[in-house]
Parts: sequence; structure tokens; C-alpha cells
Amino acid sequence: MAAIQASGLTKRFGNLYAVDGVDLIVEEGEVFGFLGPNGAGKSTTINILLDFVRPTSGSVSVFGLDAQSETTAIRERLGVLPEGYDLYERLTGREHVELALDLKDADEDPDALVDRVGLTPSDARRKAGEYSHGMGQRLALAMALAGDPDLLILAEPTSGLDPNGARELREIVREHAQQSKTVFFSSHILEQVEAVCDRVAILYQGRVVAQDTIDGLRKELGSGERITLTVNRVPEGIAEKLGTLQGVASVGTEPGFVYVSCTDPTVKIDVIDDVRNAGAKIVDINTSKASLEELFAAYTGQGEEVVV
Amino acid sequence: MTKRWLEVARKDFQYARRSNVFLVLVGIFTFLTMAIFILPGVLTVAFGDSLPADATTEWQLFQASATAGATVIPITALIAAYLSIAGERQSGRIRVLLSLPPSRQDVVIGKFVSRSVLMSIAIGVAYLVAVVVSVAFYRDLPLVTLFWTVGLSCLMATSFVGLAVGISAATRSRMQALALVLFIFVVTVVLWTPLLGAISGLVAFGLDSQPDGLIAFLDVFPPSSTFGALYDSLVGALVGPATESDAFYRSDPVLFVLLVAWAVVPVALGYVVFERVDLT
Repeated sequence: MAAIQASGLTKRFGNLYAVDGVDLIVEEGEVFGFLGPNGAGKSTTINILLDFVRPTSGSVSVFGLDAQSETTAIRERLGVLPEGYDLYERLTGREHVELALDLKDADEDPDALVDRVGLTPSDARRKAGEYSHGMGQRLALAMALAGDPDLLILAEPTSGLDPNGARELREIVREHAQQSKTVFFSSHILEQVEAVCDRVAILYQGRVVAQDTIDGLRKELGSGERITLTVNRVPEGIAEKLGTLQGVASVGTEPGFVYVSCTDPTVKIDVIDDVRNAGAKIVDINTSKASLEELFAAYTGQGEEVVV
Repeated sequence: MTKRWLEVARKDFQYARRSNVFLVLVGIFTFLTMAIFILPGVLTVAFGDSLPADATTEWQLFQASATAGATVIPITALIAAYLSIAGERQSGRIRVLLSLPPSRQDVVIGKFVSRSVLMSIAIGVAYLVAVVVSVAFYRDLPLVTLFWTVGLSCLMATSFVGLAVGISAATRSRMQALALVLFIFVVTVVLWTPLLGAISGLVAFGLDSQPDGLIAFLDVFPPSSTFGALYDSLVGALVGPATESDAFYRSDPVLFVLLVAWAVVPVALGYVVFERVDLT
């Protein structure tokens, strides 16, 4: 059974389709990245999943339970780091975790959860009103982890976290996945998703434009590799010449460097030959796989607006 | 497994208890009961008279406190509860709660119960003062009067909490909720009797007859008026002639049901609205 299954999910606000016929399957035990620029419909999809918002049409189920009619049964198996939440400023960190544990009817040790998200015991004794945004985010994560949920839904979880916090978050996600539990992770920050997710869906203007493993997306797009040549000088007209080669997707140059993205890895040798034949001396060669960011830009056609 | 609404109520109580609003409530109520129960005794003794330590005097003190309560309790109960849902919705705290197992129904019921208990505790604390004064000055504790005074005050408080929670569930912002509870207070507590007086005067003038049953019923319709009529009937009967009206619609059971309905119906209506909205 799928952890999350959405079919034909549509939400219209007035004339605007925030979510427009989304089909999505998240299998049990996988870490699933839900990607898209701001305003793509990620929040609305998650809001429907959590029954904060009711769909105009279509449906979504969690572990086979209907998100609109079986909310309590779903939330008993769910840990959520919601977006746009606020904490109870007069309750301490520990009391927040206790609240989550009590409402989930779980009997874990609140101090262990506090520790797991990197808050100190003295942090836990302070009122949440005194917390920084990053500490609040850690506390919200501890509440999400309460009751060892089968499905963890993290909406923009890295917002407010410093790089250290982001790394710890990835650790927690991995640990959770190792117990064959499911993580659904929404983000517009691509490197976070790339580092932990088994599969991703890319949402753009309310529609799922791609749903695959990251490698699968790379293959499908054919943007296999990127070569950076460090040269003593950039030969005249080299970009145009390389652009005519079969298997070269794009070429860029700047003083001292030639960048080539290729869909066919075997074309690399031809590229190097052509550059040398044009009279340049190659000082260094660097190849890298296409980043998710480039894939993302290719799918949404507006990579430049994406925050990395 | 405890009921989820009970768990929501417990947590809300834990939170609301720490708010200054609660301390202010206890302060206001206690100040009022102190003023009402202590001042007359002090003044009498100060002027050298002996204290008329009879049941009627004591009853008058309780009645005075109930009369003050009929104005003070509605506004404080409305203020204590109008943010319970609308405020959490505007701030986003409702997302934390609703990401956990409680349903929207659990949230509405839990908030209603928690804020009602909070009001009742504030009222109870204030009447502790009355108990102390009764025992100290009058060497007597009128248990029945105390029971009805506190019980009916708490019930009226619950009615206004119900109104406020219902409004809070049905509105999307603090300002909307505030505007509506103030409107309710002005209409039901401040303006109701004068307006009704004016209307019945006109009707009586036009028809050249006594105000009819509908107006007599409307007279006790708002929760604070229901409370007043029920109080006079139940507690007044203890010291004077029974004041329970002959009319069915002003009989004690009907007034009692009306007061309970004031607590329950607005909560239910507010919930129906809240259940349907998108919490964006």
C-alpha cells in the first residue's frame, strides 16, 4: 500500500488553480522529495493532505485512509512539521513535546526527543516565546518525531536552520528511513532534497511535471554530464564549433574556461580534441553530473528564480 | 485512552492559566465580592450600629453579587474566550494542534470546556471570599444560596464562553472575533432591556393592552437576563415569596434549558462553520 496516493487532486481558489490535477504516489519506506518553486502548489497539496484545506476535486489517501474523512486515524500515524505554524509562547520546549506525546497517546521520553533534535535540557526548560526561529524549528521537528510516526511530513524543514542544523536534519531523516518509515519532504532548496531523497516529484504551476528518482530524471532529460575545461586561452569561435557536435547540449565560455553540458558521455573526447585542435592548451579537466538544480531549471523553465 | 477533546482542554487550560487574562479575571471577581461582602459590614460597624446579622441581610449581599455578576461575567467570559480559536488560527498555532490527532471537533469542544472551567474557577475563588465573610460576620453559611449563586454564575459564564467560542470558531481573524463579541455584549447585556422596553411600550400603546407573552419571553431571552430571572426565582424564594412566573415559558426548567442552550447552540453552530473552512 502506498504511504501517500493522490489522484486528480485539484484545488481552485477563485479563478486560480493552486493545484491542478496532481497524481502522486509515495511508497512506504521511501524518502520522497516534493520540489517546486514558491507558489507551485506544494503547500496547498500538503494542506489538503493534512485536511487543512478541502480539495475542489480529486482525492488523496494516506496508508489507504481518506484524508478528508479519516483524519484522526491518519494523524495517529503521522508526524508533521507544518508550514506557517506558531508555538505556544508561554509553554516550555519540553511542554510542547509533552503536548505532542499526550495527544498522540505515546509514552516516549520527552527529554530524549529534545536531545535528538539538538536542543539542550536548559533550552527545553525555557518558554518557546524566547526561542530563535531555528530553535523553534528544531522544537517543531521534535514534536513531529513524537510517537515514532510511520510517515513524517516535513514542510520546508530547513527554513531557519543553519548549515549545521540542516545537516542534523538530514541525519534524522536518514535514521527515520532506515527503520523503513516514510518521509515526505517538501522544499524549494534543491541540495537538501538531492542529499536525502530516493525519489522526487517536481511541481510547477500546480502540476506534477516530473516524478522519478534523481538518476531517472537525469537520464530522461539526457543532461548527463558537465565538463569544465581550464584552458590557457579560449579559441575564437570554439563555442559555435562545439555546439555542432552530436551529444553536446550547451556550451559556455569565460576567460580561461570552457563549459560543456553533454547528453552523451562519449562526446567528451571529441570536445577535448576540438579545443586542442583550435590551438588551446588544456590545463585541467573537470567533469560532474548535472545537478538537480539544472534538472529543475530544465523542467520548470525558470531555474534562475530558484533559491539555492 | 483519554478523550482527545479532554486532552485538548487540559493543554489549553495549562496554557490559558498562565495568561495575564486569567489573573485579571480572578482579580476583578475577587475585588467585587470583597467590596460587596465586606464593605456593608464595615460601614455598619463604623457608624456604631450593630450588625443586622439575619438571613435577609446576608441574602441581599449574595443577590447584590449576582446582580454585579450579571454584567461583569458576560464581558469577562467573552473576552476570556473570543481568541480561543480565531487567535490560534491567525497565528498558525492551530496548525500545530491539527497536525496532531485531535479533530476540529475536539478542538472546539476542548476550548469550550477549558475556558468554561477557567471562568468557573475564577468565580469560585471570588466566592471563597464570600464564604469567609459569611462565616466570620454572620456565623452562618447559607449553603443553598451559595450553591445557586455560584452554580448559576458559572452556568451563565459557560453560556457566554459558548457564545465566544462559537464566534471564535466561525471567524478568521482576531478583529472579526472581537467586533462580534463586543456586538453580542452590547446587544444582549446593555441594550436588550431598554430596547425591549421601548418596543413593548410602543406595542402596549398601540394595542392598549399588557405586553404579550412573546415580549415577556424576550425579556428573559439573553443569557444574562435568563440568569437574573432564574436567580430571582430560585434564590429569591429562599427568603421571600416565590417569584417564579406562572407562565410556562418563564418557568424554572425552561429558563434552565434556555441557559444551557445558550452555552451549547453557539458552539455547535461555530463548529459547523469551522469544520467547513479552509485553514490557509
